[in-house]
Amino acid sequence: MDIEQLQALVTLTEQGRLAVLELRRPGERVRLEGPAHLDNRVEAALPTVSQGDKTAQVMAPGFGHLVTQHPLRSAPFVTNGNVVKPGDILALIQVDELYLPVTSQDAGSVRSLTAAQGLVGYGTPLFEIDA
Amino acid sequence: MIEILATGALSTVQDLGRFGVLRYGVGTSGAMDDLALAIGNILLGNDSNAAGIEVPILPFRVRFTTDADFALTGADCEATLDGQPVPPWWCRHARQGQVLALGVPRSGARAYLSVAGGIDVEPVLGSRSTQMRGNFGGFEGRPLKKGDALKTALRQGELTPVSGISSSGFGVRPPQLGLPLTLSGSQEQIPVRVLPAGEYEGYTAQSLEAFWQQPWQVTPQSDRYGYRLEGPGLQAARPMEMRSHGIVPGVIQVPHSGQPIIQLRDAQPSGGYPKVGTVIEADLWRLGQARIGQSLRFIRVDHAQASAALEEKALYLAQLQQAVQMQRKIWNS
Repeated sequence: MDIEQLQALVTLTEQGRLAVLELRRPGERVRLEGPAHLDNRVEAALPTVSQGDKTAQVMAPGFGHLVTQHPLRSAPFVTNGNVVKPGDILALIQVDELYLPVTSQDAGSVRSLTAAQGLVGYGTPLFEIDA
Repeated sequence: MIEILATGALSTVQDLGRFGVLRYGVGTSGAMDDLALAIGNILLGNDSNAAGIEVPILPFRVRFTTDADFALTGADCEATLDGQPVPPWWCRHARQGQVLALGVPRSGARAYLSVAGGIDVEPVLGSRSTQMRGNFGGFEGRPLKKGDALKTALRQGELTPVSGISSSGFGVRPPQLGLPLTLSGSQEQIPVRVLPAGEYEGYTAQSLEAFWQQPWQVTPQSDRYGYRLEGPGLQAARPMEMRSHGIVPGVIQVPHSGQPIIQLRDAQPSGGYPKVGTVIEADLWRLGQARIGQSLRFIRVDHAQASAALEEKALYLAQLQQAVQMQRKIWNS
């Protein structure tokens, strides 16, 4: 990567007000961290969105690979119809080697909104919780 | 502080080990699965050599007598915090009074409980590990028992050993996936890499072929001192008589029976049996999770491969640490 490409990435990071930009190519890894004082990032803890009185949506807390079943377990965290409590882990988002939890804020019956495992973006609706 | 509510006979306080004292006849001790302990400390932002609790026999229950972050690594044992499931390879916050319970492991042999700041016991000869032969180090030089109250160390510059993890916490992909080592056609067997050792050439060609090609079962006579294995049996080409010499964890000795013994963390630092090989340092953690009855397979490597494996492990941990630190920065900003 040359200096001009790097400058373009810095501009992108600043304009996008990104906390982190990471680019990986074979044999190359660039990570840019935005200034720490940027405080207008989207709220990290995504609120669940209520749809009417009874149904709440649970969305992806960040960009990464959706993992609905822990690799050491033989069953997924939840299946359709399971009753969950606030704080229960419904799935994981994998970023590098890290797992971030997708948790329910509500109590109720869970329904999955995505069929496949794979990449999800910030805010992707993943589950619905019927109170 | 944490209080032990229930424990098996052999839960001990361990750090990475007591190094540099083999010359005094003091073995290394330290976590059988050093990678699990290291990852627990990374998750919590602890010193890399902070002490945790190694739990080989379950069930195990502790109560947090103060608010604290904790990490659970190693064997997956269906943990719950006040009844709510805690995934394996996970860290999260516990409030004062909450009870963490570990169940029977689904896979692996040893679970590790780490707390923010580390278990606060006095280092002896440079380590907080429990020395089971000498009854020193760790918590009063002995395994933990019901009613023990363990202090957690305060981290520098902080009033409380709390790192600000969210209540549901976060985790890591199990390291057996990040640092895979597989052998075709041996799903149930645990492969470990082995260097030929001093007396390797003294065994018959047939025995050496069996050594590399056959599975070696971990027998019930296996613990932190060493694993006695059962397999085809190794025959020396001619009798070998040896004087006692220094040994390290990982050394595979062959007593007269021909059934090998892998010396491990609590082994004495000298022995007189011939040595056919040594499990490389980078794979000792895999042995630490081998269960009694499981079989091992030995993969031959040379010194360059052994040190490359150690570098690969160090790089894996460094990248994990970087990712965790980054994630913390995002949460705390």
